[in-house]
Amino acid sequence: MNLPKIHSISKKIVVALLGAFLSIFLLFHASANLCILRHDEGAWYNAFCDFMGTNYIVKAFEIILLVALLSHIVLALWLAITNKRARPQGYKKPQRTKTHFGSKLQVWTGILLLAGLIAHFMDFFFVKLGWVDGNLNFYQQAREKFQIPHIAISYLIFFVVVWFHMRHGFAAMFQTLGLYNFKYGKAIEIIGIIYATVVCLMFAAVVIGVYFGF
Amino acid sequence: MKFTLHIWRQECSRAKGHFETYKVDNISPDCSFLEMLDILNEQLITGSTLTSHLSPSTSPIAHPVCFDNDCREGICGMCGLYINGRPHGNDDGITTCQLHMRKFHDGDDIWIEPWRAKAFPVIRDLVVDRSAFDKIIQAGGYISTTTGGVPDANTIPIPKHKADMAMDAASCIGCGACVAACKNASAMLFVGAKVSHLALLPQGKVEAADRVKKMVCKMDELGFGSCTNTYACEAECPKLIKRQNISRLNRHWIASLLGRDRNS
Ligand code: SF4
Ligand code: FES
Repeated sequence: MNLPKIHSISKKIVVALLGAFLSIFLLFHASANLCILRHDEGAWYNAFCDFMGTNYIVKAFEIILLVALLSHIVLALWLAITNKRARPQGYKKPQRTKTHFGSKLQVWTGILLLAGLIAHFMDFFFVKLGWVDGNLNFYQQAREKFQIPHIAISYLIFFVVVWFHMRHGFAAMFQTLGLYNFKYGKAIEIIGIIYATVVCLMFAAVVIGVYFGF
Repeated sequence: MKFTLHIWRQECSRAKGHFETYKVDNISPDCSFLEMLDILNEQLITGSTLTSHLSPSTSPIAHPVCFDNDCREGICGMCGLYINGRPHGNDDGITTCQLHMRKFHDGDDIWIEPWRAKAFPVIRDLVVDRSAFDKIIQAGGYISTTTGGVPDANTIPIPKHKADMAMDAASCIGCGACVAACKNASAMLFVGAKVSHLALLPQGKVEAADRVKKMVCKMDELGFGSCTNTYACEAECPKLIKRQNISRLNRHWIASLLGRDRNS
């Protein structure tokens, strides 16, 4: 199959920009989730969900977010296919070269994330859209779900995968956008690790907190 | 020292290749890797007993093992072998001709493969056609003005750190290890180095935007993969060219799309 021609670097730049957008959204999502830990019968969290579900600007943002997510996935897979074609015959001996942490797993963590995301959407987003049955009180829904051991563990594993994907993706984004230089390279790496860790810990805190009855 | 060598043998670019196994003995630890292959080839030619062909399932190739080399001192970039899972073997910042047998253990099995990339087809055995790199250079890796005679050193002031960065990038010898190491067979480190060493200097800056467009288009056209930032290229580059050159390439690409020349 012949794929349409877009220069490799241009594709990567779009993937990087969309990745940046999604990473910022994740921080926002994780911050909002912390409201679940409040014992207010979901007053804050449900008010936030109501706002997200009724405000037209937010709804438009939701569409942009989904388009960004899909484009990020499609372009990344497109790059992966062209990259595979660049080496029709592989090596006999497995590679022993040191590479950037998690970088070779990026496509696989991406695919795992997609699977996890679909499961997550089945619990929440698709319920909101009315595509699947479920509790529309997301505060209650979250508190019920996160108390079930296998669901809590699955979410924690999902956050570990998110961490791997973001940990490499953060510095890679700067590199792709041409912002990684001799002066700030190390700092970008460290900030990337901190960012990925903070976001994932925020998500994990809610699951662990609810599971242990906080 | 003695070794068991598993070497990729392929009659020509259209033929199907296979691994053949040889045993070599009495190799000095101070022997370079290419000298060790020379010894093997001598033994293959003379039919010496020290070398045994151990792959009865495939019809053995009679001619000596073909491999590229020229300077044998790490400056020409001709020698490129993928040895035990690493381009240029198990050491950093060296070419295959600078690799010595003391880096191996006595009795080791050594797997020797050619660079694998669609853009670098195998010509014979371990020799690949790296003319794709020449085509990228021909597409734009030059300055098109006549430079005339050698000017006084300080006629064009260039900050020291820029001159250093340009010099580091210019040390790329076009060996192709970056492509061989990259899981995507990407040539971004090579192109990044070639774009950088010109764009960092005033003489090369004028055509920087045009150059980057032409070289990247050619790179894509020739079937190299795209960079996914694994930095295997940087880890295996014998001249220790840094990933920052790829970042600079990306920066110049963005600038060229926006119709701007960058000041690096
Ligand atoms: S960048 Fe390094 S590995 Fe790539 S061709 Fe140049 S010298 Fe070889
Ligand atoms: S033969 Fe010239 S670099 Fe190895």
